[in-house]
Amino acid sequence: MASLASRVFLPKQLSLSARLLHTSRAALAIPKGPEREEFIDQGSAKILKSMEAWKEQTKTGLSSVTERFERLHEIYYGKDRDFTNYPPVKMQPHMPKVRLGILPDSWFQAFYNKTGVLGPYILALGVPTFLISKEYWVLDPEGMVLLVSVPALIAFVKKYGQRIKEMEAKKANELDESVIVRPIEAAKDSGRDLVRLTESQLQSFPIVFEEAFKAKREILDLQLEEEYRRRLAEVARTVERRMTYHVELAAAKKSFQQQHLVQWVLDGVTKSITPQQEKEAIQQCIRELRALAPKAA
Amino acid sequence: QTMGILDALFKQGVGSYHRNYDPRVHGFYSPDRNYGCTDTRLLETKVKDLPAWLGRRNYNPIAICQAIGRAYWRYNLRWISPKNIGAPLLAQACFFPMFIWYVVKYDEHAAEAHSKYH
Repeated sequence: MASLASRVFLPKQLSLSARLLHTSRAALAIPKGPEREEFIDQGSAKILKSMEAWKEQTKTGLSSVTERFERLHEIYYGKDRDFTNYPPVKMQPHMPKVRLGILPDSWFQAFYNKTGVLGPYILALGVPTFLISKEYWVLDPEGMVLLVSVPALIAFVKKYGQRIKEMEAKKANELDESVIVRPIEAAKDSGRDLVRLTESQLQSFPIVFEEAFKAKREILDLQLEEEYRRRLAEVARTVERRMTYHVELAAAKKSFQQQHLVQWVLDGVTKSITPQQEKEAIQQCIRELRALAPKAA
Repeated sequence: QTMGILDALFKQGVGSYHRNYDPRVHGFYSPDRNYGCTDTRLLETKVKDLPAWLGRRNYNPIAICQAIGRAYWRYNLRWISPKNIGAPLLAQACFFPMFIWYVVKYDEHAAEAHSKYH
């Protein structure tokens, strides 16, 4: 009782150690001095080249699959194909239907048009009775065994058929999983692990380590510069505030002094005016107005 | 010139696909079909055509063995190869051999009924 799952075509698993060895060996010897920049550029170029080569490899694998498919499709589904007499056969997932647990349903369907539903059952009961009654079939102990064991078998199948079916289905699913599903999942996991490992390994390569160190120092310098400028700005702001304070303070003092002085002078003058001086000033004003009046008229 | 055993087998088509088999016409090869036979099936022939039909058959013993192989594959592809199978297979394997063996060995064990002393 085997399924055809064993004929499946499996994907290859990636080899981690080979990839890591290849990349690590390339990155060990780094020259110092003027050749350093060139070497780093070459190293990155080499890594890029190897990645391009890997891409080409995978592309050819895919293209061969498509070529094979096209070639076979042309053969098996071309113009000459006879679909009426030789239709494409698919593997059925289940057994054919079965009556009484033993006999296929198609045998019963053949009788249906002529005799109806009970035809084959009557045949199965009537023919043995006829043969036994006419002594064409002499019943001996073997015959009795047959007559008794057939209903016993049918009862066994009716009782335990479902359980056996479930067990077999579980076994078939187990086979499918172990041959198809798990290898693909394992390949996917190995790919993900490879990606993670290469990323972590790249951090430890000397070129990457030094360049990363430089970059980190640059970042720190920039941060320090930012802090310095911020503090400069704050200093300028506080100094300006204090200067304006002093300026405004002096201006306020000055204006207050001016006002006070002016007011004091005015008050002094108004206080010093005696009533006699006032009278004389008013009379002088009247005399001047009288003198001016004829001129206006 | 006398024919060797292998020559007879190869002439009948043993060891290779049928000489009429063409994937462009017949599609994927299935071992339960006879690719060399364009005759009507036995259950679809009229009763009056039966003798003529029987005359057209190939009674070469190698062809009989091939027919038995095709019958085995027909049973296999329908009852054993599918993914979900169950108890009917077991019951069939018990019932049909029992019945056939009883019929084939009838003469041997029928004496028990007729004999006076067992």
